[in-house]
Amino acid sequence: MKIMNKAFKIFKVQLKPMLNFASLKTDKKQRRKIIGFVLLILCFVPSYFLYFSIVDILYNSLAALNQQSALLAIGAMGVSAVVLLFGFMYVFSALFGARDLDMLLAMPVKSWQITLAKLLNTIVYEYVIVLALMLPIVIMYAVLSSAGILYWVYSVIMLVFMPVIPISVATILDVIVIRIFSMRFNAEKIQTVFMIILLIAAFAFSFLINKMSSVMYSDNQAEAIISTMIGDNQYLINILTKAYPPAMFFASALSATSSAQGDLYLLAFVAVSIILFGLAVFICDKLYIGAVTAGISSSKSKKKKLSSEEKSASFKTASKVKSIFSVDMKVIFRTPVFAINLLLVIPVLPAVILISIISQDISINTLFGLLSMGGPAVGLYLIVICFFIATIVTMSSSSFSREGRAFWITQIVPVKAMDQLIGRCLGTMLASGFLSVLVISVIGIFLKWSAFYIIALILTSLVACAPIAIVGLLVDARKPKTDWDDAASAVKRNTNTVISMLLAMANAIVLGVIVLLLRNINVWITISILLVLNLIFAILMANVYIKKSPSMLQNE
Amino acid sequence: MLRIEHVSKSYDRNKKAVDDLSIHVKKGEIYGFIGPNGAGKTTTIKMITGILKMSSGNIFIDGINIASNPIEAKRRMTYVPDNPDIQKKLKGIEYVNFIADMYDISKADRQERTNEYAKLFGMQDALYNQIASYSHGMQQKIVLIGALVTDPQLIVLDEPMVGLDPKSSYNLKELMKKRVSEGKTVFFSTHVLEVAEKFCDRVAIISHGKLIAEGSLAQLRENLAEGDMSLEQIFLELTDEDNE
Repeated sequence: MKIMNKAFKIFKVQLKPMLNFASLKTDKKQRRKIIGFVLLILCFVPSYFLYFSIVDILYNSLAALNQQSALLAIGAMGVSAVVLLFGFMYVFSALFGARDLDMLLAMPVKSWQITLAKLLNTIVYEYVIVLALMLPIVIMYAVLSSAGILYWVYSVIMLVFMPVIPISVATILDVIVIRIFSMRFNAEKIQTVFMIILLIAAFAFSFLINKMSSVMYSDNQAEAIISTMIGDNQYLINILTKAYPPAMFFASALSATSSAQGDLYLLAFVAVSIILFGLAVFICDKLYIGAVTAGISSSKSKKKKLSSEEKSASFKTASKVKSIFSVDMKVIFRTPVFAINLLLVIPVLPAVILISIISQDISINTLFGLLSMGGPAVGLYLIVICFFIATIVTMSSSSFSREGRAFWITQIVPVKAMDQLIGRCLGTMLASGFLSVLVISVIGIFLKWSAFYIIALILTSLVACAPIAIVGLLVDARKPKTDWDDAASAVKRNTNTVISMLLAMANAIVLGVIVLLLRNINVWITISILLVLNLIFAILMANVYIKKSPSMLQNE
Repeated sequence: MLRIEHVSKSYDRNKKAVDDLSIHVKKGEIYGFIGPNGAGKTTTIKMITGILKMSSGNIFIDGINIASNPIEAKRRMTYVPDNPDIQKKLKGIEYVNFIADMYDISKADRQERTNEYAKLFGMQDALYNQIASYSHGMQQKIVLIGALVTDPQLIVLDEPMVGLDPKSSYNLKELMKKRVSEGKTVFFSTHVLEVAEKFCDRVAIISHGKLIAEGSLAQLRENLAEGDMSLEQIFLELTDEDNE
């Protein structure tokens, strides 16, 4: 028991920052942070209601085929897949990227105790995903099927165990992969590979879903399948959970809580979870120290001898704006987490739209035929789409946060606010501009719009990026998140980027409404109005930044 | 060169981290800032450099108020923190170029100064490598080179000797003396009282955010009416009294 105590002590210490409710009474900042976070969550309430209604529709559709319990299986599979995909990253960060590793490894603690504590911690963090995605399914299923008290007891037990299997699998794969490859790759490269796999998986998933839905509609055998489904209420569960049997245990246990079979499925789910978790901890115990000490490092720089001419050429002068921009870009390109989150996501949205078009078997000619029917006004809708796509560019809204503990340099250098603003917004402008140029010019050329019209649309779209970039910068300057160990915290787990995205989306909605209201007036008048409005907005925001940023960038 | 006038800083209503502090550092002076842990040294330094807002008071750099004209004030000084947190993804030379760009240093000047200081701190080759590959001491050195390349009128250093090897520590002290002989000013905090004793023209002792003594070593001895006390003994006596 004493041995277990050490593991739980490490677990408790690591959990403290997350559950530090005691500090709320005394810490004003912490209290404000929590209130801000709650308000942010409230912004998502409408979309959460939408999720509830989708679950409702799905339940009723499945119930018509006597397959309602498949809803639980779909939920369990989806959530487990999400936990698994994120699990690769989280487990990797917890086991190999954490700053406390050196300290923990030097203590008289066994490696299985460290890994047990860290895995339990990761599981606790995963409950956020599990609860957010599974609660609507579990609740709606209970309400619509009039489930009894036992259903709720089973649900609690199974939700507690839900992230255990995917986290265990992610751990085993992480540790083995790192043990094998760590001699050749550094931690960041391995992290990059995981992130690219995640993106490919997301693309493949989106492609498959689209393909499946189009096949379902066209399949002549649909009638035969439907009649089989009505006769066998486990039909869909069995098909869906072939790749992941624990989802079947989950769905079958909850759909048969009153029978002994339900108890068996519950036991099977819990038993598989515990066995796999034990196996993950066992493998960690055997391989972890080896993996950590086998050369994992946050970065390995190539050391190259330079000639005196090369050394001399390294001394370059640049304007403040250019220097700020180029350092920012260098850091983004050399930090895989930044590059993937800030740059690689930019083509994702257009790519997802393209994939859904391709998977629906709609020919490009048909698509452009449909678009050309809208006339030049389509161009206006197109720039509204560009406004929406631009919301995912979070370069300026994480600009100061990305500097982390090196933020003091920005605070001490004698740079005018205007130079900071241009240097830091240039990246967002270029990224959003690239998207606009790409989308508008490709469609414009296909639809044979005049070059002047295409340029006017691109210009309008570019000007609209400016105020959004400045707003993002202002949001980040107000409270930059600089105290981070893991680079992902600066871009992904940063509320500044979420707030900026919401503000950018609100702006895109307003501009979209303006376009809709003016759609029957001359397109040139609409373009002029959009240009003037965005210019005024940009100038206003720039003035706010110039006035407020010197004080905002100081610590309180 | 540096005038701190009635500066206070409180993080919450009940406790002042710095309490009505007034200091005047003259041009061409090495000024040591000493005090126990948590005395308010780093807080003061962060207010001098514009990192931290003051609750009240004024700070002037070469007669320019840091609060009302931060750009002009910052142009005249540079800062080396106690922890060399810098962008690890940059190469040393890229970091130095960036800092030099921010202070409008010409190519010839930055090249000459960088080479001089890189040689002094044994960083000639490391300068072209990524900072992530540096040891803690090397990171401290690149921050120092970045600060010195701007050739500031006032250099503010927070525990500058921490992390430096003995040779670099010696070279830094010699360099500071040279700068002072050229009319530049050095303001630094330290825990190493021996360094402060041998190296500083004047020292300020701060405890619980308040200035408890200021002057040259001779003046401090005179004030305490103890002829041959070391700075360490003076420090211990003053801070013990303050704690009581």
